[in-house]
Amino acid sequence: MRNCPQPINEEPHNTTTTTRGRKKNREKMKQYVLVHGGCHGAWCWYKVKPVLEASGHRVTVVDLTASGVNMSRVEEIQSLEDYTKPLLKVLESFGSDDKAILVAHSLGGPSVGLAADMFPSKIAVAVFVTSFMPDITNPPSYTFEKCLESFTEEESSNMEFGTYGTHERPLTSVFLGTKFLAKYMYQLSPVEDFELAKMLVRVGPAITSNLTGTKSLTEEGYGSVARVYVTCGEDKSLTKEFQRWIIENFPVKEVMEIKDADHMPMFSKPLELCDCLFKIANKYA
Amino acid sequence: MGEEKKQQHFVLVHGACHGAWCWYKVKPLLEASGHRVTALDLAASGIDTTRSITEISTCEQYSEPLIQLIASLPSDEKVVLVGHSFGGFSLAMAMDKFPDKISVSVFVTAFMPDTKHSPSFVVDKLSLTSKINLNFNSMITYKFKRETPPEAWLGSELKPYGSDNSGVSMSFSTEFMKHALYQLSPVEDIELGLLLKRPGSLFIKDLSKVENFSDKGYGSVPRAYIVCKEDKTLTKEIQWWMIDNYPTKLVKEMEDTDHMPMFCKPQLLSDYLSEITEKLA
Repeated sequence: MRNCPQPINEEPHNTTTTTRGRKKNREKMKQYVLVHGGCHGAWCWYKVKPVLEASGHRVTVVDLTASGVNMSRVEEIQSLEDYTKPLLKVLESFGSDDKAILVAHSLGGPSVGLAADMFPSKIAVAVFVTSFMPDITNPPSYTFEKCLESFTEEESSNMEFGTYGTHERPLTSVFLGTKFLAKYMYQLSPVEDFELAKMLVRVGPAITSNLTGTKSLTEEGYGSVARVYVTCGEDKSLTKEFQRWIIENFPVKEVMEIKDADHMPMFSKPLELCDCLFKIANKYA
Repeated sequence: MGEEKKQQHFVLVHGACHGAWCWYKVKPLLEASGHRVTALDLAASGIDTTRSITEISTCEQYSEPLIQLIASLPSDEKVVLVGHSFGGFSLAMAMDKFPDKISVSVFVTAFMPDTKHSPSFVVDKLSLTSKINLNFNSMITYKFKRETPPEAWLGSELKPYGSDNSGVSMSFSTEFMKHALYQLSPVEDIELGLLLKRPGSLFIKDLSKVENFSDKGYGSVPRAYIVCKEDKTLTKEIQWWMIDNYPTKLVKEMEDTDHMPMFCKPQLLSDYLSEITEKLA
């Protein structure tokens, strides 16, 4: 076996792997880029990635800044671009021949929006999986801030908010407490995955307009990219109604549904999620 | 049937380059059996991103989260310590400092030092047996080695750190993880490992300099060993050599199990942990 030393890498974790010669048919190999939600990390795709790869596709997962095993602190995130930097680096490194299927989960939506705005020609389709999908009229934080407004006191009480930044420009951090994870996000997921979450969730940035600024994403950039929304029928944090509102706010090319999925379909319904992603790739990529 | 099993408090200690996360299957199984479980990140491990391993100069510093946990236990509480792989050394440090707080320690395909030799004795054995010298001074030898055993480091990188370059950090390569550590584990767990692994250290230089573990401290705590028979890195021969070198009260063997029993056979591992505590705790 050849030794191929790899550099010590404490940077945001990006992995791309290729399967060798396991394509089931002569279909072109697709490139997926999977972006996690708030307080989570690349680790949340651990079930989905091997299934996509087993069908011959390339999959890149990223740790956004201060997420997963990325070594930055949340205080270093002063803009949406700061938070999204690891994803932007990945897209920068792609050639323009292979267009990526960019998948956002939950609070990964604004980052995917920003990435699509900056690299529209590199993206075949943006997929929002029970995600805070931005529009081209309001700040990228709009749908998340609207959601926070709609939370009951009980819901908000199990999210731990903190402040950082300056007096002039206060920024908010968020941490998902155990109760919130159990009741509103993982209620239909295997207990092992809930356990994993308890061991791996980190303080993340709340995507507020203080963080993103008030300028919207652009029509020529993000607005020109095809979008598909995947709804999760049993999501108790981003309810079905709220997901519908997000879609109505900025309509998409197609809506797919995973009926019995909670907020974490990559744990509660991984095969159904992969099925959606395969169908989307066949149609749009 | 119907016997009241004593509720134990298990403290699960991960191996090098890993974190508390590796116990994600075992923790719920032990809890379903009625036990309390704590899984923790050692320094610069798991999601302790406040530090990188290159800022940790000693095994004691690395083990600090475990030491602090044991120190903070209420006076009447004892725990069962479970150490995986390099976690065995952290166990030994905790046992040496707080022997009265630990009812039994379980070494799961783990480094298990003795009290007669230097703490680095058992790690030296690994490097001798796998023909890879884990000492920085021999890194040059490693890089230009003409014949490398297939199960050896497979491209994992060893790099010096510290003001005097006495530390060596190691980063597992993908190939090493797949073929030497996780070869019988589910593909999803290999994926998880690849997404969460971080540089670690075996602190060989430090372990060769510190005092031996004591008979009064470390030596006074009952120990059990769980052998993983298909482990390609800490082979069953090395595992049994450590047991023969410093015998334990009990040994359980896991068939068809690689270096990562918590992924490969979590139910069996959990059952063995319960069994061991029923007999020894």
